[in-house]
Amino acid sequence: MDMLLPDNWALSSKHSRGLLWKEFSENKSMLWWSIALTFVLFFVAVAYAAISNGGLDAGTSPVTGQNSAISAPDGLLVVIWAILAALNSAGMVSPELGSKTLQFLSSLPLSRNRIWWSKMASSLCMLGICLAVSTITYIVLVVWFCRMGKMLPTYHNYPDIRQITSASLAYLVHTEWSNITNNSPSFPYVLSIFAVGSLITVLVDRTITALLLTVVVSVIIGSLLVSLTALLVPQHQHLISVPVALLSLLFLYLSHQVFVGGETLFTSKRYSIILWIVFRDVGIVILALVAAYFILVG
Amino acid sequence: MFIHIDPQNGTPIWQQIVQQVTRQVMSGSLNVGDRLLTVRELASELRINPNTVARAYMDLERDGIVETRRGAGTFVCDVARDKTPLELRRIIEQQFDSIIVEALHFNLTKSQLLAIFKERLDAMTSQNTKGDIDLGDFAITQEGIR
Amino acid sequence: MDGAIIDGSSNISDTAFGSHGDMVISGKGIVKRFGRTIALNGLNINVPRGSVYALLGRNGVGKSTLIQLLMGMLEPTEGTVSVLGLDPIRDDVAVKQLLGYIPERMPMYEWMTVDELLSFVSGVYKNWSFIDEERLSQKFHLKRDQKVGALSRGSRALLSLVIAMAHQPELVLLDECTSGMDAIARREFERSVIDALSGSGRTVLFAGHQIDEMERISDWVGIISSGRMLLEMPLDQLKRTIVSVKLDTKPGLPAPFLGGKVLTTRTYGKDTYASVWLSEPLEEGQETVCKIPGILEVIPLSLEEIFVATMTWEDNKDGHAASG
Repeated sequence: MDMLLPDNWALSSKHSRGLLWKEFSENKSMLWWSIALTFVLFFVAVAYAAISNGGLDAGTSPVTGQNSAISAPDGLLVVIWAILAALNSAGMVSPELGSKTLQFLSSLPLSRNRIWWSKMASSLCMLGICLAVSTITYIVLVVWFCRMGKMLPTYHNYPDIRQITSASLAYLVHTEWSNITNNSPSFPYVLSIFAVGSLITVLVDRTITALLLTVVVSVIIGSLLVSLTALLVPQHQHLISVPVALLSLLFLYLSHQVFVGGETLFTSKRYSIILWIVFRDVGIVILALVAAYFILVG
Repeated sequence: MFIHIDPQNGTPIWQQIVQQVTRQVMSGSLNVGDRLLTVRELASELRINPNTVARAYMDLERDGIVETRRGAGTFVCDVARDKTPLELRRIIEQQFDSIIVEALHFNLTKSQLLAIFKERLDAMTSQNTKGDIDLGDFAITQEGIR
Repeated sequence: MDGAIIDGSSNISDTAFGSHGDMVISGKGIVKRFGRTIALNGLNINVPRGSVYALLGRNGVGKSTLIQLLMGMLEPTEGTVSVLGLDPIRDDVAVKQLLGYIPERMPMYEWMTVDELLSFVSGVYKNWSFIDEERLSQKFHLKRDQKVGALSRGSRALLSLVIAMAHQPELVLLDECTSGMDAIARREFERSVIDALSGSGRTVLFAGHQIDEMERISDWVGIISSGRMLLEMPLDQLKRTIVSVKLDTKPGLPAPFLGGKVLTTRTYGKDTYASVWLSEPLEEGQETVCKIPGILEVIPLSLEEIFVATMTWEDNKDGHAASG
């Protein structure tokens, strides 16, 4: 009797959940991390300012433009963004390598290519959301902190604080926001940290280790590039964006190749394969460029 | 339909099934027209390969003990009770062979063996007053061992 | 020997018991090296369609490695592997659509509920049958809103079974999945596998150590030793090829017979028993009667005894200490 209808008819109202759903559900906690991180770093910065500047009331004023940890949103917020980029990229593959659920995923008829792209897309989306959430949290904290200044017993002694706390909410938010947007050419560099992390995450099977490694490697590469540009092209230091972009693309490419490359993901081959890929693929590109140069110029 | 198989006793599993079904049909535990478990059901029950069950059923059908009706299942045939089917004979022969080998080991003579056999046969059949006794290896009915 | 499966719903399908017609798995000269370790050293394997193939071997001999090679999770260093006519590495997605895989411990997503996991997996398989999924989940008493991480070990294995079977695979690979299960759970699991087999033409390959249980259900046996396939044949043929014989000689003087190999010998008092690997299998129906002079009795061996005898013989061949 049940041959009359297609097998799945009766239950076709059951929808299937896709890869992207899984990736987002898995990483829901990132949102909470971004809020928590913002809180923690904000209060660390405040404490630092209190200790080093001799008091909370010393120059905590984005309005008056005086120097303090909080009045340099670019500094603190970009640090938060960088950590979030490292965190999101570390969480792309490392947790699944560690809990071995990647083996389960590979036993399903899904191409590794599709899995990598889904992970990449969802991690980037999640990063974007985290950046937005942390920025909003940051602004809220600054504003709240300024308002809270009213509670300090020393309030009446410091006209500056009175000035801040009496400023309107809208004004404060607007000022913070323009500070952030004006001082954020660093956003692309945040993405390059993500690129570094995307390679490290396919090599390392613990999220914390991946996170720390990403930060360390990014700092090392960043410092190297900064020193090199300062040395070689002191007049055009903005050119640093070129090697940064190239390296980011390289890291992303390597990440894809290691992930997609057959058994490399489950054996220690995945470390040695990088040298091989760099040697082979990058070598080919360089040779092609050199050949093109000679053909065009020579 | 109770079947118990022992994969390790040397007899192929399908043969054990054939023997037990034959025995049950002969002794009346399975009646004419009774439906056997399907291949799938029996395989699942005994946790054995369905191919093995299928083979046993094919063998039983060839021996004329059961017949398969398309769409309905496998049913016990009306086997003429006075004809000893091949398989039952084989079982008995095997049992006899074991006893003979055993007796040879003990260096019994042919006449000694026959004497023991007659003695035990008399003892067993005199105990039986009514009904059938299934002693596992021998099926004894009111008319005697068949 | 060909046979037909007849079950109550009148599906008659032809299956081959031990024919070499259609190979579902075919591997030639498989070599697998991990650095300096050689896991498989020229292994050949042939699994006929519709068979239930028991893969036996000691721990660490390479059974799991072989299964991972069949799944495309590893690449062979040398040799060819063909699964359902496809290359498991090049056509990995196509192969996995037709394959069901149940390993010993499948790490699934602990944070998902049973329902979420099943709906995730169902979207991936083309031939997913929601009816089968529903039927099997109910049969196994899987609670849909329970988190996968909270499932007991037995339930996890049954969930793996649902995932492996609900998409109507042509080939099912079981890798030691019943080890660690209690007897009740194991029986339930086996019943479900058998149920899924009936009338389907499906092929099952399973590796494990529960040799007694495997003996009930398999019709083909492959024994791996030293990275190679030591023997591969139908189970009933194996039982007529490796047997135990009682010898009519003084202890220590095994009689020559049929040109076979003596695997092990044991002496009890004045009786000598030898397990032998005959060069030709005994005729069917002649298993316990042997008319060769010097042999008093032919005793059939269980699959486990056959396995132990061959392993002991291999060990002695290599000069290692035998542990029976």
